[in-house]
Amino acid sequence: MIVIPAERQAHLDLLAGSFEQLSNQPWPVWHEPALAFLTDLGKALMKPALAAKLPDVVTLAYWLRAANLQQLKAKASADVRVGLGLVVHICPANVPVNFAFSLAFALLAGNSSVLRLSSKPSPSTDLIVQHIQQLLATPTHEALRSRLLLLRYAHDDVITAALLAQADGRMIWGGDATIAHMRQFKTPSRSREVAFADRYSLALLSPTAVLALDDAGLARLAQQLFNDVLLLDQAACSSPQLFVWLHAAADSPSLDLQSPSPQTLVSHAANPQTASEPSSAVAKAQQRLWPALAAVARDRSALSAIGQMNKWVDAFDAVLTHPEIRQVHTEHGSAAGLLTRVALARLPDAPEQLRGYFGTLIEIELPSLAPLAAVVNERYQTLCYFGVEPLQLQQWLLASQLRGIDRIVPVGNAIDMGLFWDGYDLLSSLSRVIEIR
Amino acid sequence: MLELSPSDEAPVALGMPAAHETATETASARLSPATLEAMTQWPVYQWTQAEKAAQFNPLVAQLTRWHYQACPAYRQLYDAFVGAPIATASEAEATNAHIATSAAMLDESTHVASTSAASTTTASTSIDSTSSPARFALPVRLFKLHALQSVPDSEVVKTMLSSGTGGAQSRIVLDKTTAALQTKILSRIVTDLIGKDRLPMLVLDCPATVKDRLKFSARTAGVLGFSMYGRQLCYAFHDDMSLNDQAIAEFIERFGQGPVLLFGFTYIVWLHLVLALEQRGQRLALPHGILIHGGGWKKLEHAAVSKDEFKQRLASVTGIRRVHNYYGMVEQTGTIFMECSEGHLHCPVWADIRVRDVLSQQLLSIGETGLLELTSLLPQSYPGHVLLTEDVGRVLGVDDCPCGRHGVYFAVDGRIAHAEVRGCSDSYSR
Repeated sequence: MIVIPAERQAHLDLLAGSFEQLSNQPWPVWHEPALAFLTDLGKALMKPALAAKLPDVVTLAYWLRAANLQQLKAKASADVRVGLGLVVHICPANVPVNFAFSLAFALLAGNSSVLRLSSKPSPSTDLIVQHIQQLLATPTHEALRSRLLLLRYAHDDVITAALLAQADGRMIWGGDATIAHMRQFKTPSRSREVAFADRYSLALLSPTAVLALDDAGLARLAQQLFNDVLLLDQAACSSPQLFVWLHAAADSPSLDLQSPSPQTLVSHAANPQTASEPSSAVAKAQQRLWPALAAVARDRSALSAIGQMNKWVDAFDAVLTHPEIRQVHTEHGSAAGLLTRVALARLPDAPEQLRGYFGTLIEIELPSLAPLAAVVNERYQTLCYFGVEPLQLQQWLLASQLRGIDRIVPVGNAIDMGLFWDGYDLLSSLSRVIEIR
Repeated sequence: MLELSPSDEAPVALGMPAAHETATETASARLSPATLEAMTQWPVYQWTQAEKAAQFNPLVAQLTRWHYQACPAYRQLYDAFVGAPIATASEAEATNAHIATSAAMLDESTHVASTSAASTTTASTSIDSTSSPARFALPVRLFKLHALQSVPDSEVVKTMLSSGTGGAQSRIVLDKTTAALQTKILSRIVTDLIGKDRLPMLVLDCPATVKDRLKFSARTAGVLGFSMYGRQLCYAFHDDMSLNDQAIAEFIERFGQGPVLLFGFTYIVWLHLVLALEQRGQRLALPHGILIHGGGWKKLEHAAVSKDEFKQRLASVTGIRRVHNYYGMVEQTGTIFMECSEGHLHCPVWADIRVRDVLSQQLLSIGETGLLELTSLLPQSYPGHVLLTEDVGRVLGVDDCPCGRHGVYFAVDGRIAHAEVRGCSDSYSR
């Protein structure tokens, strides 16, 4: 049992669990009481009425449904695996619902958990916490009472250090700054870390495929992009920032599977004009797609006045700091005016420095993937694709020996959390395998 | 050592060699002294909006052209956002007559044109010298992030800083011309209200506000600026912001029977005059006082009261019945929007206001609430002639205010939610 001293308790805002009983003894992975608890939490949160108000909570509920978890369990290996013990979670503010995913991963891996929740007010967090409290109070889930502790506390290094000193594993959300801060504190020698650094994500679009869509298909694509880009105000690491339109010379976009030759790069740098002129297919595809996305944004009312203002100011700032920007399409007064589209004449050396929120689409046209391979570094996380074969992307990624890109997913799946995340196999990372022969 | 005449070689900001080059080459694009002098003579509120547009819009277009040529950053922004470059000076001269007429009508045609990606392609390669440049607004917050200027450093005579309530400060550089214009136009607006004779003036602030001129804040600027319309200045507060009873009593003794001018920032007037007098159960007798106040509520937004309550409670403790709020910002000093007897804010002839949807930036009609976009003819030294503010308001009417003033009149309803608290008076400590 882990003991939290009484004098320290006074500084902690206890949201769920109990100070008196916190276990650090492992359960097996996919342990039935953990599964049952998470499934019931999903059921409690699965309310159609919530979908419009708190879509992120519904996403969580959908992932927690029994069918999904059982399917994932069935795919798990037959190794004997147990949790590490106690996992301490430093949870993010930008994507509130991720604290619950973090908890779910640790529980499924057989761990008990202490979570430090962000102090930023969030109706999603409040709702999930409320249901966790209710479930813990039922006799059915009595076994979970000693396995999770949800806390809020003001930034306090003494408390954090004390928690991490007992952590068999730690899940650190919140990016580079948080990771650097948390690494100051001592952890047990065998303690493991899963740390989510600042990442950058992009989308790859085929203009031909966009133009080939019928109206229903276009509407569907717009909904999917809304989920990727605007559901979390584009603040999630996996929300695409850069939108790469692949030139459609033929019917299917040509993918240069080789690493870029020096000539290709030189010719791009020396002659930006050729890269800056939008091809007519791309221009047509843009004119078709972005108004459709803007219409969804308007209907799902995801935009706030301050969000828009911040976005505009950021775009003005970007123009003054990035000479690669050819044009900014704000299209005020038209339906598409809800989005800010930043057109690049050529790829900057570090595109990941260009990022926006609330519907900032940084667009570039490329004849092939080769120039992209030259800029992708370990910062790159999710590559969303539409109208491009994932197998080709896989081959390109491997052939180019890219240091980044951990996820290649179809549009609409950018922010879907899962057991594989940010390059980690989370259940493996948060459990130990017991060799028996 | 080789010496260069300073007038020949003005220092050029590093990384901005084009500024010097283009400024020299196209110096003729500046609004001429004659044009500016004529402009300062315009009647403050007499012209109808249509009459004003015929004079005003061509000058806005000319200012846009000037800043486009003189400020590389502005040019970069204009090209990126409007999508249609403006003709260079020599090309513009050739078509000047044409522009002067077509510019009289304000339109959004450039925005419409840029919605078509295909047409943008052609527009960005050919120079559009025939149509008037778009009235292209910079977000006012941009002046906190970047130093934007259209004159070389050698011509800068004064740098104004906004209050740094939210951290960064706006930095506005003034040359001689712009500084003089600001003084002249503010004077036209104020004297239109209170008359040309200087009145005895009670400054609703403390002497410390103007003592340290090196720390030139918006509050200092406001007090100094308005002090020019008063005589026998008396500061109503001690430096700790408590009422200077003796000074006030002497002021009332000497001037209380006649018209007097009072000036102060809204939240200071409220907190240190109205509430302070109420608390002490004290009353002043200033039945002929004219109060001009502005600057909003700042950090006291939670304690803000309605216009009517402000006036009523002020009247009951001071006897002042003539109260004029004004709206304005350090980024467009000089062209302030004065409240009339009907309680409406009025555009002076040198400024214009438009309202845009907070989400889509679409231009809105009379009565619709949105972001205020301010246009002023005064900024010559920095490209701040058209600014998108973070203030929300609505146009109440055009040419038909019962007070008799022509032009646009409007109301300010506040700031967009969660906007960084920004204003033009000092960060405040009690």
